[in-house]
Amino acid sequence: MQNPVTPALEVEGLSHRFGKTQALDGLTFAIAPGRIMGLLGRNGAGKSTLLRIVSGQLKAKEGDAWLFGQRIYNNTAALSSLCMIGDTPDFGKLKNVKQLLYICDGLFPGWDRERAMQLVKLFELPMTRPLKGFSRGMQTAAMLTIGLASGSLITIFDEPSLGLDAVMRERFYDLLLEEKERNPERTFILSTHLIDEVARTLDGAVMIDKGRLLCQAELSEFGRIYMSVSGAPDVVRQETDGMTILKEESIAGSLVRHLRLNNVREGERLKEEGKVQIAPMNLQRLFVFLAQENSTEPVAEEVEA
Amino acid sequence: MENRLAPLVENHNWFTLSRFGGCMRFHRVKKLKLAAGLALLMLVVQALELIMAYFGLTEYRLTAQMPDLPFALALVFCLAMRTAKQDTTFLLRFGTPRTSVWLSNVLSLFLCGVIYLLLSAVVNALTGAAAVALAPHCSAIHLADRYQLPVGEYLLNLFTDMGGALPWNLLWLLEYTCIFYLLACCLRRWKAATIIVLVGVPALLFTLILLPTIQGVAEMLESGSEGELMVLFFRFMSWLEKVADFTVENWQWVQGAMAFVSLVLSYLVMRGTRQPE
Repeated sequence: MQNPVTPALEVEGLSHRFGKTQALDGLTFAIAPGRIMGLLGRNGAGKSTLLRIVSGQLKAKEGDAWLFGQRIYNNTAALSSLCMIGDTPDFGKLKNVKQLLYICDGLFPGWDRERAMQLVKLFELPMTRPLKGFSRGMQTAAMLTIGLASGSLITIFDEPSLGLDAVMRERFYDLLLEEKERNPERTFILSTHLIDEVARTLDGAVMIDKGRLLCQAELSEFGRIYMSVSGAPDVVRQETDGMTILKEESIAGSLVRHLRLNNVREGERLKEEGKVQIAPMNLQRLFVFLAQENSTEPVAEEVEA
Repeated sequence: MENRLAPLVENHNWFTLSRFGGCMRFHRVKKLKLAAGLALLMLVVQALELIMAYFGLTEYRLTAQMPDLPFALALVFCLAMRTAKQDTTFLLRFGTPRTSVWLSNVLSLFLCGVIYLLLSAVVNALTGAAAVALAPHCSAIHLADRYQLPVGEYLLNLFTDMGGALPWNLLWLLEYTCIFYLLACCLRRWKAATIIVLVGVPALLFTLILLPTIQGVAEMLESGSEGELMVLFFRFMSWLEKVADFTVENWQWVQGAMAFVSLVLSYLVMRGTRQPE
């Protein structure tokens, strides 16, 4: 029997409010170590607030957050395991990549110098050219180099592909998978809008909306619970009766229903009977459906003054 | 329950885990060159002054040659503003604990001031020695009476004077480093309120204390006798003297207490400051 493992990140009842806006509203979830997880949410869903709390930049007003079982805010042990790469590159007015890497070598206990040099070459970053002359893509690449070479047990990338061209984006996702293979203990959290693009790298996803958890699961789990069923309209209606319909579409005389099953057995039954065609729902569509479903529910986002 | 953080915590000391070493590296890269550069600039300016005097273009007067404390304080003030804002933001963004960021900020500011102070002392000693050596051959270089000595003796006297002044200079520097950093932290957290307090409190004191006093003296001048006025004046002067004596006698403690209070307050202010998005 496997030993139970302390979650890499755990948040419980996390609530935070800026003035009248409720940024986080009792958010609770946990991420097991050694995974690449997507943190998905619309603009204003509370992702940035969550990341600021998780990286110790902001103190939660309610609830708490833990890294490997340790409270985060100003906790040396917890924060030693973390590397946060924000969506806005900030080099603290350092001159060049050489200086940046020298400082990161002192900042991160698990810093891998050799790996950093490899990544600098792979991202084609000039070591001594002034950082302020870098394009946005090069600045992002410099920050990604830090995140990947930091060796931190938990590394968070907030919008990691901003400004990167298609080739560099693919290179980053490949490097992320490579890093995960090299060091399976590391946990990566990618907060992004480009859901389809990151889907191939993810082990699972946490979806949040309006400061609350929409759903959290491993990617394989999503495929077993959420699916798209298509076929003759009458047959589809008959076979999916009683299931939660997230969206219904008519395409070329066929009816397509995007469903949330009540249990895994329902999916197995549909497959066995073979009366309808079944396809797994892609992550981006699933997220859109769940966000739309959530937006129809009454939510007290605006707190009374 | 297996905890993957445990090996990391067990295998590294606080210095590494807290990222204090990295913070100090960052400050060293950003501040050390600045302090050294300023000292170099000071050397160049003084050398130019001396050369110009040697060729009779200007006059050069060698008076007190001490470490440049006022400029060191000005340097620390400017750096404190940048450190509390830009440098702190950079370090905190990676998830660095606030305690190590705060400690490295204060320490780096003080060390930068000390380095500049020492370098300025060396620069002053060098240019002073050059002036003493050149003075007999150049009428535009004037030496104060106590510096009209051979170079060796001049340097010996100078270093004795500097050695005596250095502990006090360092205490001043420490006190003002803490005060300036507290001020910078307050400005970052409550900009408007800090400016209002900085301007408002002296104005309020002036209004509440000084104006009624002046008014009272004026009234006494109108109604009272000259004798009463003299008594009042001497009482006031004796009170001022007591305050001055107390301050002079306990100045190092006053400075120490100010530094300590500012240090503690700066941590409390910085710890609760929200990091910009």
